[in-house]
Amino acid sequence: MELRDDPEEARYRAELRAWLDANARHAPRLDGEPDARQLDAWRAWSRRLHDAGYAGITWPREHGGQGRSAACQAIWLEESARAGVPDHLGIIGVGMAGPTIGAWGSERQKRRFLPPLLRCEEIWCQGFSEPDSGSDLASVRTRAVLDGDAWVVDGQKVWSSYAHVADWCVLLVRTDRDAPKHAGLSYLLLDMRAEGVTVQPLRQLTGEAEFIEIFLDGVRIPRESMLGRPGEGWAVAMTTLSHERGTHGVGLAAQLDAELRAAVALLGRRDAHGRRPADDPLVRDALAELTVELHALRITNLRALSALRRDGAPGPEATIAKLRWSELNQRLAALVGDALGPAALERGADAVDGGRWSFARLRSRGNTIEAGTSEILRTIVAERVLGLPSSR
Amino acid sequence: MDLTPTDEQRALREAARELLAARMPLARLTALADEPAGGEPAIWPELAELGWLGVSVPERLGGAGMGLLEETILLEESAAALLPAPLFATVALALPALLAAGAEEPVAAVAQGRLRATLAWADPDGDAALSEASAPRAQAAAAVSAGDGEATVSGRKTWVPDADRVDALVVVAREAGEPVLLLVGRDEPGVAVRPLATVDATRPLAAVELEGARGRLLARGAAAAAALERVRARALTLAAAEAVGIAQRVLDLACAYAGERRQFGRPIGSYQAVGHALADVYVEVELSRSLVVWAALAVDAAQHDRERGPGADAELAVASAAAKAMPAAVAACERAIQVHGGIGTTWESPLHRWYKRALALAALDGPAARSRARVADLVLADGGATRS
Repeated sequence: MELRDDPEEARYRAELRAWLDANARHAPRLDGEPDARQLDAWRAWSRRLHDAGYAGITWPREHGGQGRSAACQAIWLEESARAGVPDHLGIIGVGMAGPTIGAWGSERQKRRFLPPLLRCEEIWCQGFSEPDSGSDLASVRTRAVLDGDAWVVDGQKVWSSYAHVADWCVLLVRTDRDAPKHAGLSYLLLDMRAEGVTVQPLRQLTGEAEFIEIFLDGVRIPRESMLGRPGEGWAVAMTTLSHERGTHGVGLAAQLDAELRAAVALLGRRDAHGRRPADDPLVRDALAELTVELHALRITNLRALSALRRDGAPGPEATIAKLRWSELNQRLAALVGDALGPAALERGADAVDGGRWSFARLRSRGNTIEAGTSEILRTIVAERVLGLPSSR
Repeated sequence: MDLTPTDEQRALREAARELLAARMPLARLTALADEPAGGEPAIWPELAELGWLGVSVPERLGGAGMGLLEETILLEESAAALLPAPLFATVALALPALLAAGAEEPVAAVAQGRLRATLAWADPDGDAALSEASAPRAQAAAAVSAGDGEATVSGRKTWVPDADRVDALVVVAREAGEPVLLLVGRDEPGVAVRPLATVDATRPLAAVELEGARGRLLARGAAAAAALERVRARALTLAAAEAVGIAQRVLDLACAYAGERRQFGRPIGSYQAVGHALADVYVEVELSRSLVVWAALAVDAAQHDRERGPGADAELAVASAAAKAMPAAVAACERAIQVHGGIGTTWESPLHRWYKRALALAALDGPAARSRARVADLVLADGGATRS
C-alpha cells in the first residue's frame, strides 16, 4: 500500500497546481444559486477546463476525454477543492449522463452528444425522481407511448438540478405498464426545448431554487433517442447512478476538507478580547472529532478508489462515502452555527463569511436525503455488504 | 497512490488467519482464558519461525525489514483470534524501544523468539496513559548507573501487560531528573511481579516491584524520550489495528447471529432497527481500518525520511487512529452483545472476551478525548485541517 503519489501522479498534481495558480482568477465565485452573469462566467470557466484537458479526465480518448486514471480524477477533485474553484458546469453531463451515453449509446449518439457536453456547449440534467417516486425509484410513472416515429411522454419529474439551464435531460420513463416494475422502464434522451416541456423552480427551505420540477405534457421524443432497448431502462439508470459513486466520494471529502479548514480558521480567530470560540473545550473536542472523521473518510475513499482501479468496480467501502459525508457536513454546519450564536442567523454578504454558515446549516439538511437517503444507504450496507436478510 | 494490499501483504494475512484458526479455535481460547495463568507458550517458537516477531527488525539482525503496515496486519488478525501470547507487549511495546535505543543483541533475540519482553511505564500514583510515559510523573522509579552500561532500578510500576509471560521488562525510570530506559530480566533478583486480577484474561496485567534490580541501560535523556515517542506511535497504531480486528470479528459474529436468530417469524437481521445498527458498526470498522493504514504508512514514512522533520502527518494520523479505533471497537462489542440479546450477556457467549480486550485497548492511552485533544492541538496550531 502506498499513499503518496507515484511519479506520474506527482507530475500530474504539479502541473495541475501550476495551472490552477495561473488560472484560478478566471473561476466564477459561486455562493448560492448563480445568476445569469455568474452562469456565463461558469460556462467560460468550464470551456477553459476543457481546453486545458481537465474535462472528462477519466473518459476514454475516443469520447473526447483524457483517458487518465481515477487517481488523476481524484487529484483534480482534491486540488480544485483546495484552490476553491468550481468544477465543470456540466457536472451531471460529465459525471453521469456522458458516461452513460458512452456505455450504452450508439456511435452516432456518442458523436452527437459527447463533444458538446465536454465543451460545455450543451448542459444536461437528470429526470429520474418523481413526486411519488423518491427512494423507490423503480416505481416511476411518467409514461412514454410509441406513436409512429416518436415516444409521447406525459408525467412529472422533480429534484432536477440545472434543469432550468439544461439543453438535454436523461429521462427514466415507463414504457410497459404490464411488465414487472423494473422491467417496464426505458431511458430516453430529452431535448429540453421540445414542445410540452415546462420547468418550474422548486423553492427550498434555504429560500433558493437549486432544484427544478419538469412537467412533460405530450412531449414527442424521436424513437431513436433511447439508450438501450425498451425495457432496459433500469439497467441504464443503474449505470448513471453508479457514476454518482466511484470517485464522487473523493470530491465530497475534498469539499468537506475545505469547509473544515474554513471552520477552523473562523473558530480559531481571536476577537477584540483575545478570545476564540475554539477555546471552548467542547468546540475544540468537536473540531477534533470532525477532523478525525474527515481523515477516516478521506482515506476510505482512496481505498475505494484503489479497489476501483484494481478490480474495475468500487469495493464495498464506496457505500460509506456519501452516507458519512452527508452526516459530517451536517455536524460541521451545526457546530459552527452553535459556536457562533446569533451571528449564525445572519445571511447575505454582510454576515460572517458571507453567510456561508447560515446557508450551510440549512442546505445540509438535504444532504442525508438527496442521491440516496441515509436510510436507503444503510439498508444497502446491511443487505448487500453485510449479507443480512432483506427487510422487504 | 495505491491503497490495495500488495500480494505479499495479502499472503501475510492469509497465513496469519490459517495459523490462528488452526492453533486458536474458539474452544481452545475460552479454555485457556479461564485458566489462572492461561497463556499459550507453545505458539511462541512457531511465531518466531514464521517471522512474526521480526517483521520490523532489520534484515541484518535477523528480521524481515518490513514496515509497520505489515505488523498491523498480524496484530489485527491476532486480536481477532484473541491470541493469548505476549505478542503486543513484545512487538508493539518493547521492540520499538529496543530498536530506538540501538540494542542490537536484544533486538535479534526478540526476532529469534529467544526474548519475550514488555514495557513497564505506568507509575501507580501517576498518569497511566502510554502517551505520558516520558512525562516526569510516570517515572517515579529511580535508576542508579553502575557503569559498563548497567544500572540498578528501584520503585513500583503497575498495569504492566503480560509481565508474567515475558523474559524481560523495558522499565521507564528516572536518573538525575532525566528519563532513562532499562532492560531488566524478569527473573533478576529484586524484581517482584504480582499479577493483578483484571477483566481481560487473555492479556493479563501485573504490578512490578523493583528493589535494586540490575539491568542494562538502554537510553537516557532526549534519547529515552525519543525512544518512548517511537513506542507511542507504533504501539498506538498497533493497538488501533487490534481494535479493528476485534470490531470486525464481533461484527461478523453479530451478522451471522442476526441471520439465524428468528423472532416474530423472521430473522432478526431483516429488521432495519437491527440491520441499520450493524451497518453503522460496519462503517465504523472501515473508517477505523483506514486510519490504521494511514497511521502505519505515515509513521513508516516519517521514520524513513527524517530530514522532512518530525512528521506532523504521522502525529495526526496516530492520534486520529487512536481516537477512533478504540472507541469503535468498544461500541462494536456493545452492539454485538445487544444484537445477541440475553445470550450475549452470558459467560458462555464468547462476546465478552473481545469486549474485555476492547476495554483494555481503550484504557491503554486514557480516554479517547485525550487523543482528540492532541488532534485539536495539531489542527488549531497549523490553522488547517489536513496534511501538508
